[in-house]
Amino acid sequence: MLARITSETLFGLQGHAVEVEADVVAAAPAFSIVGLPDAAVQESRERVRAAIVNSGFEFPSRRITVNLAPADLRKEGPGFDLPIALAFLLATGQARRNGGGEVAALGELGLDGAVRPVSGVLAVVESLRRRGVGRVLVPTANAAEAALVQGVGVIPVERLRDAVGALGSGAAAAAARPDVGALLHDGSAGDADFADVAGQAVVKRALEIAAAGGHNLLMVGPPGSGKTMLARRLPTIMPALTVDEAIAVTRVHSVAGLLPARVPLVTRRPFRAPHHSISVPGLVGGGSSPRPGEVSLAHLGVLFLDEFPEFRVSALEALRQPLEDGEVTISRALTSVTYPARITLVAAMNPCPCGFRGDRERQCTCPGYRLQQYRSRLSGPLLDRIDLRLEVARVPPREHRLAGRGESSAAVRARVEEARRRQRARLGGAIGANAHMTAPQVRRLCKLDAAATSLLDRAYDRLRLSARACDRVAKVAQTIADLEGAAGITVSHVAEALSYRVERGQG
Amino acid sequence: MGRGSDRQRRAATAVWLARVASNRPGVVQRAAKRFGSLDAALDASLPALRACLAAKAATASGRAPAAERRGRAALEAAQESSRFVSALAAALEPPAERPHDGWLLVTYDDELYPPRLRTTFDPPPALFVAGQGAAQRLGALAEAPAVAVVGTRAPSAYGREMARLIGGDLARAGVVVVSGVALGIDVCAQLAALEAAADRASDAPPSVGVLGCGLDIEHPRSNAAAFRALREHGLLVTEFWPGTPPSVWRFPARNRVIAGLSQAVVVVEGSRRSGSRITAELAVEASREVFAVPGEAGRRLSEAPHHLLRQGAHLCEAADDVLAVLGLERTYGGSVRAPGTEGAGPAVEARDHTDAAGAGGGSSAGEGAPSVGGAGAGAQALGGVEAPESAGGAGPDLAADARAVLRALHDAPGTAEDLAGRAGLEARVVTAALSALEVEGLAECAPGGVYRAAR
Repeated sequence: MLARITSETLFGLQGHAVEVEADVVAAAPAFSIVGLPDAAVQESRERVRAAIVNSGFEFPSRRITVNLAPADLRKEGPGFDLPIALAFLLATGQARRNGGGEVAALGELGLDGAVRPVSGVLAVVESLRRRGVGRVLVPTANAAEAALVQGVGVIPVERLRDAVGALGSGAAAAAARPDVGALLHDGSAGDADFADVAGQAVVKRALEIAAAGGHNLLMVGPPGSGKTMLARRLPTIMPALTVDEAIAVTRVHSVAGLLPARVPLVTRRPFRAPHHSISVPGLVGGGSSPRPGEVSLAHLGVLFLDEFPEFRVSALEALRQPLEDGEVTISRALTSVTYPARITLVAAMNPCPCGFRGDRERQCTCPGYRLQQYRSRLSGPLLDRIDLRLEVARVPPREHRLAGRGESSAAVRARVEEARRRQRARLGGAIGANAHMTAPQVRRLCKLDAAATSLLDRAYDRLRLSARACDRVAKVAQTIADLEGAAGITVSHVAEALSYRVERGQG
Repeated sequence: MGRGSDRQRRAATAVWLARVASNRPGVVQRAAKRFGSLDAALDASLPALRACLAAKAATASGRAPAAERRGRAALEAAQESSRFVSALAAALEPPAERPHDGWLLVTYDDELYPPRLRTTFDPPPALFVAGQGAAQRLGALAEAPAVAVVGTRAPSAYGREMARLIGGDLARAGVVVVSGVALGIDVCAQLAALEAAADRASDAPPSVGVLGCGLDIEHPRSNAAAFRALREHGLLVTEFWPGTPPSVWRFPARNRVIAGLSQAVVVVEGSRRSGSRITAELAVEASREVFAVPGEAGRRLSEAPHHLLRQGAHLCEAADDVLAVLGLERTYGGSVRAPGTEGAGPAVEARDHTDAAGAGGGSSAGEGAPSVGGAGAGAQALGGVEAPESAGGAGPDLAADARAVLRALHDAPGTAEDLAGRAGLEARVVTAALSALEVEGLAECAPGGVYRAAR
């Protein structure tokens, strides 16, 4: 007898329909899985056999063939355990399908018949909805995440027996859609807050500008000056995630298997801080079936690269595409995968290899050639994508004690959101923020008054700025004007923007 | 023997002694002690000198025994020892013809031998001198005032800045800046001097580099640019035989020449046990004036200058302090950092002085801080920054803020953060003002985000 149930495999964030067919015939006992399964799928034979027996079903001594169609698509992961088991039970007549519409299933099985959570559920269920599948059986631990997708009946199953029951009844209770608004509201407050930062008014101002305009920034400062601490607080002043943004972030995190069980949604902007020894695939994504890298995990959040010049040059160069396009494409022999990667890059570096160049109290011990070497690791094209540079000085402990608590993240975020609203009104939906304007757009959309233009022209001559650097100053000035609510860019805005310029003469 | 041959014999003795002294510390001092002075030692017979110095060969002058040294150090010590013994055994030869290989050999009796150096207790018996027109420049050095600027090899940004300022201003005032072409303070001061006096008409070199090795060795190698500049526009001087490598004991020996060539020594930064302190002590022995540039209390690099100040060294905040003590006039104008030589009172007064200098006129700029707005090239340049009335929003007046920030900068350099605190302005106002000042060339930003008033 032949039975069929539908499921889904992911390539990147893209779902592909997989029909799981089981055929049971009277012949020499065997259990084989065909249809380009990977090792985890091959091993599912053993899990399925044990789960079936331990759930009180019968495993007959027949020839059992399971086919995963289409046969030319590579199938991965343990998510096919449940559909294989269900197809087998349908084929042997131990389960029965009732109720209209197609039913999909996904989940890993334990030997005792428990249904375990799998990764990438959100993307899978979204893809099922596009195919018009009406109901889906998902592990209970993934149910809330799956229920984010509207228009598909999500039936949580705890054990294989529950799944058989749900398949048979046709009227099993579907999981309710989580209240996304409430989740976002409750989850947005983190334990890190801007108010924790003592002093550092200049740095905080620059972070506010970065958050308001979506600008990438470079922090230069000696060890212990609080670069990491400051960067960690940048996501807290960025605009709160919208529902669509939260789902986009969740999708990537779920595929990477980073969404904790029973947590339906990523509610805070991600902050990723990979170590500088990270490989290129680790940073931008890769593997034989490409998995998201740190740039994609930081999608709509902050990618913090401490010790920026210590990253391998190939990894830094690989960042150029995502910084430019907001997404990253990983090409493989037969196909390519695209992950989103709209990030705010926060790069941090020491002023020199020993870290104490220009410090008030410590002396720098770097020979000149080491300094040159260190700086030459940052390529021009990469620095071209960074709009703000700020010097972070060490704050002596006594000043920490003297400084009171600063402004809270929420207060700063309110200003940032207001500035973003102004940007959307001016730029339209296509360009998210000031930082993403192209050179012609800068010239068309940034309105500098006469004094501001003359200051920028003089800066071009006197500070030997490049044309690109001038554009970046104009973008930052625009963000400053937006924060202030000004109609146009004035000389004060340009002057402040100039103080954050990336190119500086280095003594 | 006639007078001529006597001179020749003394010159040969000096060269012989220089060769011996290149390979063992304290040789000249020993000879000078034994015969009363170097002058007398040069008159002594070769056997008598040998007898006096041979003891030196045996004692190895209290250095670690060769067995305890390892590898290269042991090898170098052994080579040095053998060179010393063979130099001691060598016969007197008439001094090499000059100029030789682009450098000049000047013995103690030569007219060109720097007179200030000759008056010290243990001057080098012979000097090797390199540089374009070395003879002429060495002659001019005798007449010119000379000041040594020395300090740590790993200075802070502040030390670097002070070395640059003092070296540059001294050179502008016609003073020869003497130093050791070491990393850090030395080379900063010397390069500033060479730069400041690039178009000076006088024959006197703007800077003299005294080496602790042979003239053919450039140590440290990363100062190659400074060596090139000194050969072209200044002088390189050493008492050591060509080919002599740099080693630890030769640096104090070099320091005595630095002190000997100068009328005063300025110590910029140094830790407790730094070489600059040795130079200062040698300077006191040679009765030179000693100046120390104060640092921040409690910092390691302030130890040497503060120790010297406690011992009674002159305080040096700027080149003017040195010029005043040496009785020299300021012959340059336009310096921003000019606290005045006689009783520069409270900060506000000093500031007015500064602004007057900035305007290029000698007249007083009136009383109190607001005068800054009315005087000085700074305010004129800032006129261009003034926001026009038509500007929408009529934000805070950038020019006024810039003036306030410039005033704070003249008080002391600082980060935008410091300046915001001192000027009582918001951080974003200060950063904007600083950029405006930077564009107008009135402020500079050093590594670490420290801004200072430009000169």
